[in-house]
Parts: sequence; structure tokens; C-alpha cells
Amino acid sequence: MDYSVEKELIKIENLNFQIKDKKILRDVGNDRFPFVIHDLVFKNNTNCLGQVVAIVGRSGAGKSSLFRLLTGLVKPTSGKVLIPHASIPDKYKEVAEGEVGFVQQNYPLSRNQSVISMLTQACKMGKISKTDSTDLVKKYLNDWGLFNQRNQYTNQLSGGQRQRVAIIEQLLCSHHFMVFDEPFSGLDVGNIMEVKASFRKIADQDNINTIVFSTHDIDLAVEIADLIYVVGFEKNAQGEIIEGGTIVDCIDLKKLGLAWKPYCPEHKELSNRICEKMLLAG
Amino acid sequence: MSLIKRIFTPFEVVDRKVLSSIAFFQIAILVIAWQFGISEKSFFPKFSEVMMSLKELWQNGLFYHILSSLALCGKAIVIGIIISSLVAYSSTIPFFRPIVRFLSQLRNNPIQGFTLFLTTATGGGRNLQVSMMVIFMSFFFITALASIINDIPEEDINRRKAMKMNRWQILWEVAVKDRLDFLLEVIRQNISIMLMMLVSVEAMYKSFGGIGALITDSNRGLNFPKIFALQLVIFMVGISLDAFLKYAIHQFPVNIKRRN
Repeated sequence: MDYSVEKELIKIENLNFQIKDKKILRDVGNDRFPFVIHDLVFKNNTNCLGQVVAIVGRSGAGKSSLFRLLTGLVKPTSGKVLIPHASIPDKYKEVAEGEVGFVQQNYPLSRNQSVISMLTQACKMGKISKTDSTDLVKKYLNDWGLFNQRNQYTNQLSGGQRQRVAIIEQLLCSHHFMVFDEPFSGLDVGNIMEVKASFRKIADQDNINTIVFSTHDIDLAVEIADLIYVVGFEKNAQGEIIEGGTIVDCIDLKKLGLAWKPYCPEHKELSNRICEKMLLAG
Repeated sequence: MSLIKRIFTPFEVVDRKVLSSIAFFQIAILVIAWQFGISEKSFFPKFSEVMMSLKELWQNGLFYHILSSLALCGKAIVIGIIISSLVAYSSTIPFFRPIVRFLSQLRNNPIQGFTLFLTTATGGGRNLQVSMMVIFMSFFFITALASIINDIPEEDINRRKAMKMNRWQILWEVAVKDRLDFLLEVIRQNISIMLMMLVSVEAMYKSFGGIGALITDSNRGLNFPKIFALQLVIFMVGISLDAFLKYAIHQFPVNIKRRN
């Protein structure tokens, strides 16, 4: 597919994150492996092309911490996570809490609120007017197959339904950037298809919509992402592991001609290469 | 496995009707033992004596004494929960955390020794009774509520942060609104403490009546059938309050079963 690379949407500059004496992340977004997500635009195509970025790595490499930094929930020890300034074009600012949507692994929702109540509240937080929010919530409920569940409560929803409510909540809070922490974890085949469809829906809504997700399923990552970052540990000259996870590889599937294509043998080959890289960087 | 064997095997699931039958059978055995198993020379009253006393109490206005006790408990719970909630919710603010921890530890202390100061401060009477119950129960409420707030999963808070809520909005949404059923559960679990206090608190001013006042009088006169009858009344009041609160808690959406 013919596309052009436009402005930077999310970039990380020399990010370090430490908790007390323990280094969690080290030098993420350096010159060797820059962490930059660009706005992509299809040429000669009216469809929207949102960005889908996968972050893979073994457990303990720092993916969850990276997500908390990307969403502004924690501040880095040094370095920056930058997003476009809302009101000043071509300017960037450090990400603050609430500026990036975060769909967490267990899709936490309110214990005592109905679906429609949660989504209406999300509209209020996204500063959507009362008159517009009724129609908008109804539209999302219909589009995402939740209209019949609108008066149900969290414990009455299936896992897939809860996930969709969690996603719509973040979308209604006017988030173009959304981070998903292990969205495929523990899902059956049907639910995985639902999540993939959700990602497609989000990406198709707006060009600057950007999804960043983590997964242990490398095959899934190569199938749906257009950019993959591998997080792991580097080794020094003596072969010892250097404390603090970092980006050890960046795979641009667009340049490889593998993005936006159905899963094929080339994807499998790439998946195997990434697995090998992850094992070396463990 | 036969039913008899299952009834005496750990972790076996039996029908609710079977459980009800077991309970009925056990109560029947208890009543029979209570009536016929007690020696004539014993001070321990028989079941029929307790029932006679209960009938007498009822004819002498027991209902109004129960109402008086419930009114005292109700007032104390409402004031206690409001004060305890405010204190417990303030534990989310770092400045107040040490204060909340200190207040929570005061539940280990009896209230004796402070009665004179409370009498002076409240002017005595019903106000003193309410104050004593509020103060005593609040330490337990604060402990339980602070523990609930402490156990709020970080992901609940992160979700609200990602929804652009400020910290005060998160406190209201997550700690207060989303956990109201826990508040009722705290009350339900601490009702027994309140009922235990009833006797000593109502004994201070018997002119207001109440079950506690009646028990104090009966105890002084060593009227054991009457004491046991009143104990039975307190037991039934406790069960009823517990059942009522359980029902109220089950009305919360979080307890509604998933519809297929």
C-alpha cells in the first residue's frame, strides 16, 4: 500500500526510569533505536490509516513501566515522552496524565455503574456537550455491538464486552493515542478476533489514532502492527547483562512490505527472528 | 456418595433444602435439650420459662424498648459512619495518613475513664449515650474503611487518571461512589460490637429505656429467665439487622448476577 510518513505523533527521548536504586528502563529512544511514531497517510485512498505499534519483550523487560511512562501516569527519572501540543501546531510537550488513553490488562470498569452511565461520564470528561453525548454514546453502542448491554453492569458483561466498554471510554475522553497493556492475554480465539477488529475500528476512525500494545504472542504482533519495538536487556563487553530494559530492536513492517497484509510465511519468518532476538536479549 | 456421608464430608455441596432441614433439626434438638436436659436444681432457666418471660416482657412494652434501642443504634451508626468515612477517606491525603493510623489503633482502648469528660461535654442523657457509641464504634469503622481504601487496586485509579479526572474526582468516584456497598458491609460486620455496647450504654440512663436497660435491671434481680429472654431478643434483633443489611448490599449492581 502506498503511504506517506507525516509528522511525529509520539516520541521518546533518552528515557530513563528508576525506582529507588533499581533501574527499570535505560536510554529508551536513543540515536541507535529512536522511538518515534509517525502519522501515516494512505496515498490515493480515502480510508483512514491509524498507527498500530507493538511492543514485545520478555517478562520483566520493562514493558508495563514503559506504558505507564507513555501514558503520563509516572514521570521518568530523566528523558521525555513527547506528544504534539494541542493548541500550538508543530510544537511538542511532555505527556501528562490523562492525555493518552490507557486500556489496562483486566479492563477495570466501575463496580456499580451501568455501561451507558460509564460512557456518558467519559463524554463529560472528554468535554463533549450533554446534547452531543447522548447521540455519540448511542452511536458507539451501536457500532461496537453494545446497544443491548447499555443498561447492564460490569459483572453482567462478558470479557469481550468489558474490553469494548473500556476502549470506548478512552475514545470518548478524546484520546487519539491509546495504550493497551496485554490486550490478548487469556483470550480465546473469538475474543482475539474481537480485539483485532477493535484495533481496526480505532485505526480506521482517524488518521492520527495511534494504538500501542504489548503482547507475548509475536505472531499476532507481526500480523497486526506496522511497527514493532523489542524491549530487552543489552549485554556489556564481558557478556554481563546491563541493568535496565531498553529498545534492542525496531522492526518497521511497512519498509519490509509486511504491514497491512494477511498473515503469510514471511510474517512467520519475521516472528521467528524476533523470538530469537528476545531470547538473546533476555 | 450417600447423602448422610456427604453431610459429614468437608467441601461437599448439598441442596439448600437439605441445609434448611439440618438447621431445623439442630434447632429442634437444642430446644428439646434446653427444655428437658436441664436439672430442676440448676439456675439455668428452661426453654418454657424463657418463653413465659418473653411473653411477659412483650405484654409490658418490650416492643417500645426495642424501638428505643434501635433508635439509639440508628442515630449512632449514622453519625459514626459519617465521621468515620470522612476520616477514612482523608487517609488518601498523605498529611492525614499518620492521624488515621493513630485513630485506628485506638480501637484497642476501652472507653472507661473518659465517661466524666464526655458527660461534661455532652450534657449527659441521650447525647452521652449516642456519643459513647459513636466514639467506640468509629474506631472500628475507621479501621475497616481505611483498609478498604488501602485495598483499592491501582488499576482502578489509573483508569480514572487516564480519563482525565483530577485527584478529588478520583476520590469521589473510586473510594466513595464505587464502594458504597463496602460501607454497608462495614456496618453489617460491626453491628455486633454496637449491640454488645448497648447494655453498658443504656444502663447509664435507664429512664430512656431500651433492651440494655432491661437486661441491667434483670441482672441485678438475678431474674435469669428474663435475662435469657432479653438475650434472645438481642440475638433476633442482630439476625434481623444482619439480614436487612445483606439484602441492601445485594441490591447493588456489583452483586447482580450475570444474565445469559
